[in-house]
Amino acid sequence: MTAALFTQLLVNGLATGMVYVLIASGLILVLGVARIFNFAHGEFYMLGAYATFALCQVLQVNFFISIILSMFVVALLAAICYRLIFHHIRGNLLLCAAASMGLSMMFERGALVSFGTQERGLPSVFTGVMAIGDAALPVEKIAVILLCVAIMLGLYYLLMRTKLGKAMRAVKLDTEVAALQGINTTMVYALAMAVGCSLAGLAGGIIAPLFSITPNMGHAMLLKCFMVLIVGGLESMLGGVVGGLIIGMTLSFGYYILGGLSEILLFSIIGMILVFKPGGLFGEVVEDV
Amino acid sequence: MKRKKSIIFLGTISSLLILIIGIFAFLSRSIAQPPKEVKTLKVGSTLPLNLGMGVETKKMLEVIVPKFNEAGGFTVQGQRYTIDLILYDDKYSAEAGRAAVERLIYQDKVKFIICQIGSAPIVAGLATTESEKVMSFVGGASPKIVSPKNRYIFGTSTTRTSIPPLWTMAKRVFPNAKTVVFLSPDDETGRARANEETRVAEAFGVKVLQVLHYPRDTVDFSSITAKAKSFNSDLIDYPGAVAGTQFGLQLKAIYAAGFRGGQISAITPQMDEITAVASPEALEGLLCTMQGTEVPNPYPLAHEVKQDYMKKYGKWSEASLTWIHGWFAFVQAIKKADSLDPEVVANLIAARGLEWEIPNGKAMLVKRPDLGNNRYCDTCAEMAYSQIKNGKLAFIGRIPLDEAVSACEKVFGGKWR
Repeated sequence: MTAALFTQLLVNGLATGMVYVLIASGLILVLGVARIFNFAHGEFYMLGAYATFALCQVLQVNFFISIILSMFVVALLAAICYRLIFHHIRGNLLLCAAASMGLSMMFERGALVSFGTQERGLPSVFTGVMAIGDAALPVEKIAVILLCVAIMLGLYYLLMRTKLGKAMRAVKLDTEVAALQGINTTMVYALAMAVGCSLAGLAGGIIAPLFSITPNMGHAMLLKCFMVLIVGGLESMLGGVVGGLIIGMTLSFGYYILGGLSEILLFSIIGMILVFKPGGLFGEVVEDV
Repeated sequence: MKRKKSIIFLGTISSLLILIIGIFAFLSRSIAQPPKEVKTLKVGSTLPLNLGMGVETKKMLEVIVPKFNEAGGFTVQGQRYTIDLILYDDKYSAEAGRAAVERLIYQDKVKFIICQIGSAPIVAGLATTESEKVMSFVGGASPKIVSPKNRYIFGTSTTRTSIPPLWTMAKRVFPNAKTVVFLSPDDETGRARANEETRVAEAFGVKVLQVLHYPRDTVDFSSITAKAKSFNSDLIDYPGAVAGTQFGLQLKAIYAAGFRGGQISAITPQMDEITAVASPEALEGLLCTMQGTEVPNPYPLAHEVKQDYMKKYGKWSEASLTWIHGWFAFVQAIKKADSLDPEVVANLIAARGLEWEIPNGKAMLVKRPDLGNNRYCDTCAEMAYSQIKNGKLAFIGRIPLDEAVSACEKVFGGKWR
């Protein structure tokens, strides 16, 4: 493998991995704080992509404004879903998971009816290819990496430096003690759901010009996010970042080495991690779910 | 005596009058009798309605079949028939395809199936159509469709025979090309197309450096195209690719990976979808087929179907044409055999062949001696080609039917006519 090819695969892996990181972080936030195993997370990602598509193509809104608006639309939708559905069954992981599956089907069918089966695509915002030596690096991939890093830094700031973030961490640590401290836990759950799902929606908007948009695009992404969680650990943000990058890199380099069998490499790595670290790289073994 | 003559004369005149009145009454009754009732013939189809090509084919069938019925349908042994088209979603998958075919045969009792697209659903339903003697006029790329074991299925799209004419044109456009890399879906269609194109490319003196397969639902082609670029081939070819957004993503990714060589494809790209995701620079120079409706001076049938489609839907879609050859072949076969018995129709066209008109020009059934099948079972057709220039398809020429068949004979061997 030449240095140029290595650089290309590295950038591809980083870009893909950072998108996984973004979506998986949202999933971890919802699971950690609101205690919901959200099977509809992939559909929030899909809705973010469609919202961006609709804003850009139909209403001719600027791409960056579109992804921000899409993020808010998805956040609002997630908060409504929480208040209407999950609020009433909170605490029962199994019921929440079942409800989120139903929600997932509803969103997917809704998108199918609204947008049809046709694949949609957006033109690239960052066109061109950057040449570093012999390596051809698409500008849009570099932009995706930078954008995702910026969003993750923003999320870090939100969780570590703001009152809301502290409240979320407190609720995650001990709900009852947090409530005794005067934290409105219901509000925090709803906000965790909104922020977590909005990250998926934002990722959907970011990838809209890179890939195609279809009503069932959420399924494959959710599967990858579960892999990220298994690798990194169910409730660890750092684990989500590392897991996302491992999955992205494995798929990128794996294809070069093994071609169509690259997913075997991915599952082998996951298998090995589970053998030596059953709770994931940065997580703990979950005894009772 | 005179009175007797008068009686005989009056009797004769009366008999004559009664006879004439009787004849007139009979004739007028015959004329006033209503015409024979028009019967309906059920014809089935399964299409991948989860993909753009399936939806577009359905839309086109919903234009041409009602028009055919409005024009009176066809007459078989003095009986007039119109068509009732029954269509199910096969999701481009073997499971859904087989279920849809079984529903058509056992529930709807169809004896003819037309215009299926994907090899997976076609091959999955093949055992049932053959055992139930249901005649199929289908697309698909798999050579299993034209296997000598089959008696009732006919490949009526040019998927298996379009590659030699394409490479005839490719050698004119890229005369110095010596190597090629294939990017192909990892399924029945993709593998069949890649195997076939490998054979054709090598017959034209171009070495296939690598065949890279990707899952059919891939959207991120960056790693695959980075690997493809690393071979530094003269050409990239896309056997089995679908014409819409996914093809645009491949072209975009191969350009982003730094590939600047020639590109060829046997498909007609859906320009509105691919230009939505790929820049004009990424598309520049791609050699591909062109629909008969878009060439300068299109044939009357091409003009007619385009006008009818636009009248119904407002906006024209070239993708609606690719997979409808089976309809025209079916109509022509029934007319030629003057029978609705699949056994009779299949035996006749398998033994004597079939020629028919499609929007691209002339098409004909050919034998496949290279696959051990000496029945007329596959299709060759006149082809039109274009190159993408400044984000638009630009017509570069045609390969007539005779030359297309000759190119196939040259590459695959044997007498096809």
